Amino acid sequence: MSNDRQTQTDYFAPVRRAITVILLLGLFGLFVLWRIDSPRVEKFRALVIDTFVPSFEWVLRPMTSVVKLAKDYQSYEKLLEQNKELRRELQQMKSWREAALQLEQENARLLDLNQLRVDSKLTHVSGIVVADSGSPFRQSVLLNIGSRDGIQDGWAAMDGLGLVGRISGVGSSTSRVILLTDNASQIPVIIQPSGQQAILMGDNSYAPPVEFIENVDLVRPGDRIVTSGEGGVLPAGLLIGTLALDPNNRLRARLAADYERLEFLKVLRDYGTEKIDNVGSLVTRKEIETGVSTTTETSETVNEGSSE
Amino acid sequence: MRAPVSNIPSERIWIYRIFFIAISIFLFLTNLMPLQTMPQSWPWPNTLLLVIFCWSLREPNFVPIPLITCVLLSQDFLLHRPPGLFSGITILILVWIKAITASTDDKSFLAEWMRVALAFAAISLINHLVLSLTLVATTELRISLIQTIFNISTYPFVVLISHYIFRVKRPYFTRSGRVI
Repeated sequence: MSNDRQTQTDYFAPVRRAITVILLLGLFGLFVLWRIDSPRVEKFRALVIDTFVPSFEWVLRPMTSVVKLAKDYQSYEKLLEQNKELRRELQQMKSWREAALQLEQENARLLDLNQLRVDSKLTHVSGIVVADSGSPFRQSVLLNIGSRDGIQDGWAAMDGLGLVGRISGVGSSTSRVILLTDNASQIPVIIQPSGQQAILMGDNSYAPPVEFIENVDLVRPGDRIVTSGEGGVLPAGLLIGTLALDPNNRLRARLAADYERLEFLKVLRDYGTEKIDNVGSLVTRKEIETGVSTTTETSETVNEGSSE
Repeated sequence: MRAPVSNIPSERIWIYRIFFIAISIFLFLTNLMPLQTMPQSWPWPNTLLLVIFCWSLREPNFVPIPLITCVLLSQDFLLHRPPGLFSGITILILVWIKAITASTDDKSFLAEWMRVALAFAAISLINHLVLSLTLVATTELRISLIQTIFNISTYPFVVLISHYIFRVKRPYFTRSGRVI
């Protein structure tokens, strides 16, 4: 009996070895393919995530809420202290709110005086954080909104207060947000009162370092960091955080977004600003548009005139 | 070299294969829960890797190479790793370690632990090396080294759990073949 089986396994051994070799070649081949044609494989990855993760959502959601419940239960013990602290904070916030309201009114008045119109395209879509990256090496989260909600690669994702990251990888119903803390995240920023340009480089730590500051003497810890919109990467002027000095005298960003609790993110719709290649075409197009809005007859003549 | 002889009923083998898939999905989901969105300085051990090594060195029939490939490759895709690299290296090293284990006579756990430790270190180092050679943006070596150390130190616990709870035991070898 045992001898029978022995011969059987020996018979299958070369086949098994061949299968292993083929699988290994396939795996390393896939890696090489990914290295050469990254976008196509990444598109495939988005497709895989899009098909698998939503089907696990029914387990993932309750599991997550149970663990969160347990975590919250621990914090109930410190309820009294927290309550006092919150009351104190609320008092402070009230005074800030008053100041903010006054500033808002003033701002609205000034905008009205200047007849300035805020970009109406900058609206947002909100999504729920379904999953995180699942590994200590990558910092990203998965949202439950995707291309069917009009999400596009490169859009900015924010929590209520500050920038959280950028969309990178969109499936039909999921999209991945690469957080500012990820190694692959590099964001052009401006450090606010001095207007110094710099780049925020994620390095897998809670406070990403701010590098390539033009003149380090002009910035100091506590300065505000906002996106610069350089290169059309992100819309300009999104709050990132404040500047801080770490023990090694390196400038880092203390992020404004609450990374401890990323539950909902809003993704800003941003179709990019119109590119101006040469001034002439833009001006003539403007003329045509105004022509259309006033009288159709004249616009036709203008069109004919411009084409000839 | 001793050929692996299976005198385990095939239903049991299939039950354990399904078990393995269930464990991998469970571990994957616990990883994926959006609880830790802050960067961690202390990474968790890669439990799936531990289970794969533990079971392959005990009952290779429970975790055949094609099954491991499918699970690891899907994890590569879902956990946002460069596809194919980590799973390829892991399987290469796994096959190698299995061959070494089959050829030596030292069947003590300490020897196995040493071999597995070597395997984990090799996997993370080769992975890091290939990634830096192909100019992929890598994470710090520090994190993967810490994870390797955690992997090595938690390996005995995984072995104990799979021995006493999952009943995946090391076959007891005699000269003529295997006796459970």
